Amino acid sequence: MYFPISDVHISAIALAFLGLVVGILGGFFGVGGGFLAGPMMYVLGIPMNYVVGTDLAHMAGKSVVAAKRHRTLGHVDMKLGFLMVFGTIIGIELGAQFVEYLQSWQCLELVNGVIYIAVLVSISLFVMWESRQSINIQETDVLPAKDAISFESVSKRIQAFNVPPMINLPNSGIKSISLWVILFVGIFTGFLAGLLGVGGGFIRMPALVYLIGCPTHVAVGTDLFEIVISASYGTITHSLKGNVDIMIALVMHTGAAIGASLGASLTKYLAGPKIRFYFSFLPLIGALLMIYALISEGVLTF
Amino acid sequence: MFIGMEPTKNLTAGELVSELLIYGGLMIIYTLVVLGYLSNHVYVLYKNDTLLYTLTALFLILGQGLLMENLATYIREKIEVE
Repeated sequence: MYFPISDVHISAIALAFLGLVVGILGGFFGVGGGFLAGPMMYVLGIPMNYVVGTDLAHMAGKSVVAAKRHRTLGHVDMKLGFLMVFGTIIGIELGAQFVEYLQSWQCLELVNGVIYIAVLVSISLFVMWESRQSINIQETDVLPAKDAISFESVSKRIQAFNVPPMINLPNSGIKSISLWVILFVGIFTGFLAGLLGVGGGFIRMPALVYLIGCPTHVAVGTDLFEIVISASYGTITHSLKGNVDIMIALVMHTGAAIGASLGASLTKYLAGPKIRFYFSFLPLIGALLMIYALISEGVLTF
Repeated sequence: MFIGMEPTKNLTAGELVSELLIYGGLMIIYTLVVLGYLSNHVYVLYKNDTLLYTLTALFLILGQGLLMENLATYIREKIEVE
């Protein structure tokens, strides 16, 4: 099929199938899936300048569908999402500035690649270890077994950080937490996302669980809600620069929306620790793809 | 379930499957219609008016997901009532 905007011939079925796969992952784990969709779009033959913008466009649409589905399941904390997005935007801008700084030192690819791999492997191993422990935890008085978390002491300590204004997040089961904590977590995860050039879902989802103390299902839904805002913002900026092929995005989104809706609905059949355990493999795949990219471009040699 | 975190609607597995089937069909029809009838117009917008192209792109992508899902829910509920 011919796409005149990016001037390429690509199989529409392959695009829709790719969308379906990242849609299921996105709806189920609360990630945009850019770490998988981006490289695959490039492999399918989409020019690099269209890959990021078009991926963001399909991500915006898919996340709306998944977030809406999670909302119907009661898995979205709108208050937390709105508050955190301010920190996320500031963090993304800071991360982008740091990228400029690294670029001036001529070491962007190597430093960025190494940080990317270190962050993703750390998240993956930690979530894998923690979720395996949590799966064995029996029901407690505080949380039902499906929301068991073996690393709860950190989020409890963070919630006890008593700097006004203190807010409550009833949808996340959090009685009191400092607004500054939410903004800081938003800035931190946004900074990593801006630095690494990713949407940041696989950083933010664990941060919502382990730092803020959200139940896993709410973390997934709230993260998707944030992705709607950040991906829409990214789509606008990239589209104004002429880097979005909306026809490719629409074809991908045909599969992605169905996948996102399916993935989001499936979360209600699994307990939080199991979702986190399956999630832990995603950052590892991202890290492996980055290692492959660095080796094939000659940045890393063994 | 936490206080205040109430699901607005809980679909059964059967309802979910039928809604996804309707939704999938509508999504494919929408995409084929846009590709068949609007592709050239959108390309002209891309070449001549970036701002309007951006707004159209956002409308098309968000509309595809949300409108079609609402329509799928509406059709499924109509079928169930009958």
